[in-house]
Amino acid sequence: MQETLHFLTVSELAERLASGAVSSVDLTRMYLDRAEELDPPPFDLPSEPRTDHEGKLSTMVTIARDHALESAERADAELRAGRRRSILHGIPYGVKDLLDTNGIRTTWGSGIFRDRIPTRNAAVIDRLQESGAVLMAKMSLGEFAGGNTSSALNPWKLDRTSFGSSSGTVSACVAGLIGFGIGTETGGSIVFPASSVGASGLRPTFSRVSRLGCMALSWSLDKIGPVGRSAEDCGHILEQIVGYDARDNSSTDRPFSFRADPGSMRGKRLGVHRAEFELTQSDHNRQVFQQALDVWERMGVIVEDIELPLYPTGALFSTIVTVESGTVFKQLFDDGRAAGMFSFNEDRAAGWMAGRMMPAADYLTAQRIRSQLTREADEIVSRYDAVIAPTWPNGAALREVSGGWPIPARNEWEPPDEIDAQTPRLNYIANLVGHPGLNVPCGFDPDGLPLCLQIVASPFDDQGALDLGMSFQRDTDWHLQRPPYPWRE
Amino acid sequence: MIDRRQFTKLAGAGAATVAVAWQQACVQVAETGEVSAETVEVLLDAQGSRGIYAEAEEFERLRRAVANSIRISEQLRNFDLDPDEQPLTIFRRG
Repeated sequence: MQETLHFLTVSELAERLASGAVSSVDLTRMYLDRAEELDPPPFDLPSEPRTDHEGKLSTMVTIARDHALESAERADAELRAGRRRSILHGIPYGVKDLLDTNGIRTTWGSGIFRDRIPTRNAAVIDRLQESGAVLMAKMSLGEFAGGNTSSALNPWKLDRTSFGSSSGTVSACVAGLIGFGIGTETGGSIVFPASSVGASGLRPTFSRVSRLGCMALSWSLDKIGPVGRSAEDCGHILEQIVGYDARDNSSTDRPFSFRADPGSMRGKRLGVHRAEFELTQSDHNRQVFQQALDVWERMGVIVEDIELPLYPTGALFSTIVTVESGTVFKQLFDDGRAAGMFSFNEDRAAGWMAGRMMPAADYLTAQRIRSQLTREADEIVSRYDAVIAPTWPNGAALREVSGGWPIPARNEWEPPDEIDAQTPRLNYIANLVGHPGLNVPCGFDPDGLPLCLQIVASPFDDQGALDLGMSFQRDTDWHLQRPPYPWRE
Repeated sequence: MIDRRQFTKLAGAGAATVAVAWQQACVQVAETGEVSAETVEVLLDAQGSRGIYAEAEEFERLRRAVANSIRISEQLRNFDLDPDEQPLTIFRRG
């Protein structure tokens, strides 16, 4: 089977499945064989530091071969009977190992839970099953969705980070190991990893996608979203996973019907947070970002510079996440299992415990500031169809090693403590206030690493962000560039 | 066995102890940049079992984390906030 099939978008794969050019079983076997040949899960949740990946990306914790082939056979039988459940029908996907999968181990990326086998599916897994998609693998992540233990390598360059958290999902997607993926984001865990490898990834509006059955890191910040090889992929996937779920307190009943045609961009208004263009020292990178804006301007989009307010986003994240995580993981501390966390995470665990000690008044103060920020940010974004900034100002950083662990140059969980203009401010604000954000590749840095922009829209206007992303990708092919993977001599 | 009146008194004293310990920790961070081991012990014991923090190295890590949390809280307490602003205790859109 041609290698290029591995890199097709969701709509291209769906077309081939619908026409009978390829069966779901063939497609699933193709991805499984490629994954097992190139990236078999060596990732046995090591409790000891390990930096030698022997050229493997380490994107998968578990490959569910039997489950995948059974699902694919069912998908084929339904197609033969004339029943096509959705555009995802028969397409194999990987899900971050934070979402429960019935009968398939779900580790949350931690050795503590290496043998945890749920007896239920997360709501998103049920929805994808209902849509006919084929679950093939559980994807690697930083322990407990941490951004620091970058588990999967970057398919563009082995010595670069893929950030942490959703790193397995995004790296596998770009390396043609899965048809599409599902990630999660609390403060940047979809868009930052996606930016480091050049994947298209969407953080949906907070509350659009049920978190039931997904490990909670922060109830008031967690989101689940799609990762694909195009903005259009993300829209198709989102359409299948959204929906009200009474079992998730924050879930909202706002239907989403994806429109794959972005329509005319003429007269659309794009707010640019220009200050973030200056976060890079590289003239080349700034030029890449500017050229991307030029693409929209040529379509008739009105591009205007905007200012975003300075808030203590680092302090807000630290307070909200440590208090909520400290509460979520209380039992791990009480029964001593926290001692089994990876050594690199010891400071993080201590932060959670400190969060538990924090007076309620401080937590409420953080949530009051967040409320004020939400109103201000909503007002700014509402003046535009979307606002935009580099997702990350530079290409993926060298994988530093600390205590034996490879880590990114800056942990996404650690925006500076001070109120600091030198941060990807749009991302942190959008995450705090629940705005949707789409990562789209827009070029490469001088070392050949992807550079990306994040398109942020008003709450529940996920389609607006997707429209701008799809129109950009119809005029450019950055999202279709493939990494030099596998590294064959 | 204690009666309800005694329980109320003890519980109140316990809560006050924790609140005083946190205030004490704030003062210590402002003055020395650190929190004393004794203060962290009071805060820790209020959480129940000491668990992994019974071990000296882990306890030191926690002592640093508490000081860091206090520095972060200080930023939030100093933030210029509209008095009418309510907390997003359940964050819900729409």
